[in-house]
Amino acid sequence: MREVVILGVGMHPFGKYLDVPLRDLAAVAVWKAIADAAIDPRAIDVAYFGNALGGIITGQESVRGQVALKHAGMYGIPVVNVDNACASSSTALHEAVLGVGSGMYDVALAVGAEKLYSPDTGKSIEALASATDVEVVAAIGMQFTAYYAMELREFMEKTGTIQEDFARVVVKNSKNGSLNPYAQFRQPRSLEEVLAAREIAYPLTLYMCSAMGDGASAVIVCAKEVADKLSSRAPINIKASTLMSGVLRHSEADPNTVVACALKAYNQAGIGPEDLEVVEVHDAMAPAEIQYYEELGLCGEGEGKELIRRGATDLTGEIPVNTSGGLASRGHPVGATGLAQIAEIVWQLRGEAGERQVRGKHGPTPRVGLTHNAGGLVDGEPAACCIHILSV
Amino acid sequence: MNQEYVEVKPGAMRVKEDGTVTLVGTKCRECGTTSFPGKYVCPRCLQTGTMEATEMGREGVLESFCAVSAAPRGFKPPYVLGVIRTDEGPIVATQMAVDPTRVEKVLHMGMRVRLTRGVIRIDEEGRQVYAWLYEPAV
Repeated sequence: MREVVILGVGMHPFGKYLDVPLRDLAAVAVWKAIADAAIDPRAIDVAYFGNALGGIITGQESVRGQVALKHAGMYGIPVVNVDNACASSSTALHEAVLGVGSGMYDVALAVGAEKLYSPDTGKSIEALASATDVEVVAAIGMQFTAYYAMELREFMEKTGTIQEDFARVVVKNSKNGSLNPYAQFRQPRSLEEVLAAREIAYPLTLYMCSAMGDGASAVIVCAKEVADKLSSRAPINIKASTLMSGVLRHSEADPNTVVACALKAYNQAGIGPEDLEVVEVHDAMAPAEIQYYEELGLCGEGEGKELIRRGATDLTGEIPVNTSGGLASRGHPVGATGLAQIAEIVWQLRGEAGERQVRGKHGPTPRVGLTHNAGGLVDGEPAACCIHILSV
Repeated sequence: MNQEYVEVKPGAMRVKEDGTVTLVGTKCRECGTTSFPGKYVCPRCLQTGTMEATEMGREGVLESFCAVSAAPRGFKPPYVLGVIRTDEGPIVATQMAVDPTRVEKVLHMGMRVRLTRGVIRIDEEGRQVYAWLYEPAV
């Protein structure tokens, strides 16, 4: 495999855009990424288009990528449509890394775009619930907020984490989101506000949950050996790109999917969790962030609550997590989330994150970051888990 | 509402002559691993020809639960969801046959539950949709 680097990233701000079609959201992100990469757009050899629910919500079940990318001026190149639920666009990046790393292509575009807002909220919830085995999970009325609520209730019982710890995650992430011009929700929330908000499903209150959202994100990668010729931009290295479907667990002692996928990523990158300086995790419900601290090895089992209590994951903490605001604040247009996480880590590593810029362990900017993106639910595990490790 | 009814997943549930309800999954003749929903091969042995239908899921442990106030199209909230670890091993996502307003009083994690069945919604054609449900084992 050749080494693969990121040249540019771009986003359409996340929010509610009832009147803006998917193709327009995507085109904005694509052309921002092209401008950021400072490359000739004709150099793009292939595109991977991540979108999860456009089929159900808009009726464009097939060739969503070709429709959107022609709108953005891309003709003739191979376009691969990627659906892996909430992990669609990180999966698109994984495929782009494979396409370039293999030597088949020199430059690849990965896109994530999603429109969840529809005049019929029940339809959007139904679309989201389709990221399960619909015959036995969606069919009985399961929905993701409830599933997270159940997982978190178990986590509380097992680890002694309390609802106030969950609320602290929202306080931190809503503050980060308030500093992010691409975030859907930019209002910082106090601990009291979060705890007093309407209960969605215990232990989740309103501000802990990601909402419906629309948005897009895009990333341009190329082979490291050609980066100098294509652009004057300093490349960001992709040290690991790992994708797994849910693992089979014979007992509770077996590692779950996130743990297994993270281990694979650390091995691929040749680093450990102690080397990370900034992290984006898939907190579709903000409290799950604490669970991911443990599963990604940022702390030991049962110690996640201590990290949030002592501010270790704040912008100024020892290991900042979800500097973008995370899914609940930045927004979660599901197929666009994975590459929004990548964009945030790229901006942090370049020192371009503005007011939410974090310091590195060894200098003014961090050198190594990780993204964790997960989608769907099959047989009690995520349907897709995708982890990337980036470095300067 | 008409009198017709459908099963949520035909073949996944069986009502025996004595009225007891069971789920139908698969069991491996070689290693005993049970799966729900049923699998084509045993995920542990990874060989074909060892699977057989098995009645399962009549009892289990409530791993977690939640009352929901927002639902996918076709479902009428509030209702109660649960995740059951069946005695045979597989996890089953289910609605709970309990009053949503009393959920914190009647359910607790780790309690024994038993299988029953009931109507979880009315489909687009007005038919009652039957599914597996769990309730506290007395």
